Amino acid sequence: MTHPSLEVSPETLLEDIATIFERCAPLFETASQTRRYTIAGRSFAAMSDLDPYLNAVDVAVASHAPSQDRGARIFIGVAGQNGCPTLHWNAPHFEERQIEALLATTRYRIHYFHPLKYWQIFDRQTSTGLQIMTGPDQHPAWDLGSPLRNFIQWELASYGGALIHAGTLAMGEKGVLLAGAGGSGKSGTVLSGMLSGLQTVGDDYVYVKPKSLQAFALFNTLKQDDAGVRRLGLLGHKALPTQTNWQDKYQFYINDLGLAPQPKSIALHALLLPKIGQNAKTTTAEISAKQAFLALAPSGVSQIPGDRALLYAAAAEVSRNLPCFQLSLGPDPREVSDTIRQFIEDI
Amino acid sequence: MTERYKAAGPDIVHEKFGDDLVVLNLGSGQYFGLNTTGAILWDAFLTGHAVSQISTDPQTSTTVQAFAAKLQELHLIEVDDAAAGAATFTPISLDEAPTIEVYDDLADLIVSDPIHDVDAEAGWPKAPADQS
Repeated sequence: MTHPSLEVSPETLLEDIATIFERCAPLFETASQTRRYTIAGRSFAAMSDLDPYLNAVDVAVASHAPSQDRGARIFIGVAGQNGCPTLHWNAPHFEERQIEALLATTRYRIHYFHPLKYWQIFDRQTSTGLQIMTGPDQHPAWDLGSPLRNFIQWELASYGGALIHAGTLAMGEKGVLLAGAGGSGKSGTVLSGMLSGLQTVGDDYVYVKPKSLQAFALFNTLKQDDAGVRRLGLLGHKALPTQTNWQDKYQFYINDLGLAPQPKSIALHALLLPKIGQNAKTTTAEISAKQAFLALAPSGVSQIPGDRALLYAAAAEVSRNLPCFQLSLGPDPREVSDTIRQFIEDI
Repeated sequence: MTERYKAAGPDIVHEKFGDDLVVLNLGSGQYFGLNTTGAILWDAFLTGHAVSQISTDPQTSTTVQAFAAKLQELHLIEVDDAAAGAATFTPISLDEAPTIEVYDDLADLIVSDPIHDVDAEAGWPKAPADQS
């Protein structure tokens, strides 16, 4: 089997991408493993010879039922192995925003992480994706927390929603979005809520349909720093790994916490912006949609390449369509969770 | 005063929140909050209205012209030489001056080039400390 080397140039980008897909077509047939997922109601098949990577996807992706229909297909391979081509960016720099603008109205999406020569390419017309790495573990450090995230966004963008960088808490299927930058207390709030009996469809990224205000689970991943783990009494819990991740956080999975099964989707009734408060009790205060948007949009828009304008518009619509509140967190996790439970009941 | 404007390219997108407006420059990563008057003027400019149509009062016209210049300076609008005359605009009187707030905290994330600007330890999207 040959191992072609293909050039990708900004001047001939569309033709080059078409060539890559043409050359890679046999890889979908020869991959030794196919794992099927249903994510936010859509089917995804991950095809690869890389069992450890697929195993990591199995753990992280919130798939509620294996799918048999075709849906989106993503090949994950190592350049130069089993016919997978090596791709060369044929320009001094990869200007992500320029490439995004160039491809905005086309069928294609691209993400290229230069330090690792890590490629993700997607054809929205055929729902076909390629993830090409230089080695089995040569993916960005953050990749396994939300694997295939860009592909999921690029595929689900055709179905009336977008990925939102936010956590969620719910009672049954009635819930709230929690958005905020690192250090706002978002993840700790979600985790303490879960441990207090609330449900979630995700702590980091969820798929939201702004018109129907439904949020869908995408990933099982949770992250929490050492202080948060201690505060919540989770130190030593079997769900926690022995080492922290690249952010110096414990990365673990909802399914390992021994809780009741989480919902596939929830109906959103409010957007909450948590912040570490100064008072003994947790309080809520209504804020404007504009304020909420300015907190909700930045990180998600910046972290998912290829669809920035769409993500921006989706975050705006969600902010407009939901009542928005600042959530000033008290120091007691149980009290915070009780306040949110009462808030969800009342709203 | 007779010049017409358009958004300065596909990188300029905006969203309305009640009477307020937020404009994002996807290229620079900066975003901008416009008050109600600023939002009215933004709409007027982007629908092809010249300053002379927006106001006939000299003092108001000066304010509107200055706001257009500010938007140009921020690379949010540019002169549209090809624009046809837009429909009549009911001239406005400005009870409140147009304002524009500039938010830069997204810029470091959006315009960071993942190839060269990513923090070596934290990874994308964390910009290096000397750029934050």
